[in-house]
Amino acid sequence: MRIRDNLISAMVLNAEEITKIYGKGQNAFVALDRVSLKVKRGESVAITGKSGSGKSTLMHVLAALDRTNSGSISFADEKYENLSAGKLDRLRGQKFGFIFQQFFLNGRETVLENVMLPLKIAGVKASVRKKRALEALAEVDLTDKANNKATDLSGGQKQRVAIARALVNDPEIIFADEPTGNLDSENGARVIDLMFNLNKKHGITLVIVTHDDDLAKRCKRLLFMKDGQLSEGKKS
Amino acid sequence: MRLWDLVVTANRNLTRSKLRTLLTILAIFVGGFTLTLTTALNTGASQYLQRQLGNASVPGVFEVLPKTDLNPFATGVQKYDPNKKAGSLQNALTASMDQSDVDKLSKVQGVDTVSPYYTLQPEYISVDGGDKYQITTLSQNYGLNLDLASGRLLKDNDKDSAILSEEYLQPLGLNAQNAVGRQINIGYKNTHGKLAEKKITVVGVMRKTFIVQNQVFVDVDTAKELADAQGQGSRYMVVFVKFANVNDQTDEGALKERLQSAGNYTAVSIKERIGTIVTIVGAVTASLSVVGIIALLAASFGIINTLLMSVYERTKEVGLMKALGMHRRTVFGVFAIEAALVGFWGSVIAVLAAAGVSELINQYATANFLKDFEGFTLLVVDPAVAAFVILLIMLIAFLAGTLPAIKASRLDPIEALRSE
Repeated sequence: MRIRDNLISAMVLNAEEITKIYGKGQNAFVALDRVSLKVKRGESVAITGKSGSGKSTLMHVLAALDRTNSGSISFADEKYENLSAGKLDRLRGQKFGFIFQQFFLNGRETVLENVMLPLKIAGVKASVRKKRALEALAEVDLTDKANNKATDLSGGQKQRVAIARALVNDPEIIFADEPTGNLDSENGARVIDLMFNLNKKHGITLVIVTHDDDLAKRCKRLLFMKDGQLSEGKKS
Repeated sequence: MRLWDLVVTANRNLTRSKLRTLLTILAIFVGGFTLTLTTALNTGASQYLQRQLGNASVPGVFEVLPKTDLNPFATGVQKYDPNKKAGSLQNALTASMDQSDVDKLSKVQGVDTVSPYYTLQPEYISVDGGDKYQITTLSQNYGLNLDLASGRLLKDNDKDSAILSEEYLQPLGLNAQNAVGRQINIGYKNTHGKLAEKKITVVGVMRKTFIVQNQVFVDVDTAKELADAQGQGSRYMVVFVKFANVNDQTDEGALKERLQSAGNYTAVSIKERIGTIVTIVGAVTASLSVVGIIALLAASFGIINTLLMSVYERTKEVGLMKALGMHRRTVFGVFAIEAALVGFWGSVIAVLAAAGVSELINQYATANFLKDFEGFTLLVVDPAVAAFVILLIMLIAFLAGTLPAIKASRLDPIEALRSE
């Protein structure tokens, strides 16, 4: 019994036979074709593949941003299909962090306000928000930029702010969609270092969709998507 | 998300496109300004009417007239019916009631006094040794609570007493203070067409009203004496009936029913009469308010437009917030509250501006066309009414905001984040 409990708790994401179809009838496009995937706590997983292979769709359904047509996904024993839209929102807000290729910072607001956004959405008190956002900014070494407008930062700095934002709610998983896609190699390397530092230091699970070989190589597991089907890649 | 954060966020979003927000607020302002001014006019006029007519203070007083079923447009000759007082057009318009009606009405349960309303035809008013002036309206006291400048109201047992409208003071060489207690003369022609004078004492001075001009009220005995001398003492157009033991809470409908079933009568209470005037004023200002409401409806389309543009511009931001766990309801809230805030700022500015403009108009009006109506404040911005206007406009704005807000709440986060 005990061994089984440990096994389950070690499993953070579990997708079974998930299928996602866009469109209907003759125009139907199978983006995910009976994909199964288990991700263990603290793992780092890279999902690679050509554009249109379904890797972004996989990440979206794993992150509860999108629903599947069939199959089952669960996070820490909670099956998505049993959760209401509101509960899924809360799950994303409390357990997940997101990093996007285009950063998605609000340029009009300060760096600090951008980092505080997930806490504001979660209804955290203003004083606590500020304290935790400053801690997160310290992790990405941008404390001195806290009161700058986000629009005044360089691309690398913006993505580090985005990492701080993904980190601020103390998530269990960070989903990253091409996090280095808009960065030069020097800034990309720094962002990669930061992410794996979080993985090591806080045990945050990483699920990363990427084209970037340098990034993929750093992950413990390499997955390959092709025509909606997932295969375990080889580490070179 | 906390409500306060929601309001702060929505308010800050308003400042993103300042010109656009300003123009939308301006549209709301126009409607709110109009609405506040028309309600202020209504409040001002109502307050003045209430004060002048003393609406609440004369419960249980009715004027009773013969019921007329005469149809001036009817064709053919109708059969004579002795019970129908107003059987002819002349009778309907002149005095057709007599002592038998007074007796009948006196027997109605609960009636205190029944006073015929005499028809008086005065010639002039004067003080001894002074010039003679025309009397526009001379009538007997029937319990109206008049707006007095000095002195007192007439009582039931007064004799040879009068209340003068203050218009007479200056021509007669009096003022509000020394007029009380002074003797004046009422000139009239007797049944033989000869001029006669009746001396009476002023007990009170009433303020000018815009309803009746140059009014003189006399006590009932004096009225009867004058009417008798003029041969009008036994026929009356109207009879006033006063019930005993009545107050503001008394159901006048039941009393009215009692009077009307005593004979072929129509009874109208003083409260009803005054109510009719107040209703007319209300109807006029209400129709003006419609203009304000229409302006607000037009402005609400402006709000819809502004917010729809805002939703399109903020698609990515909304997508991100939803991805980061913001509920649909909260997204709806951000936009709907933003709309309500447009209404709030627009209406607050409108109410403040209307209050300022009212003040200016009042100053001008009091110095010019309302100079003769002491105590008439044309525009009164009542804080409670102003608060109601603000809430109403916020509600309209909120409702206008629901359409864009629903659109925003339904944005698919993936689509929204993908959009370039």
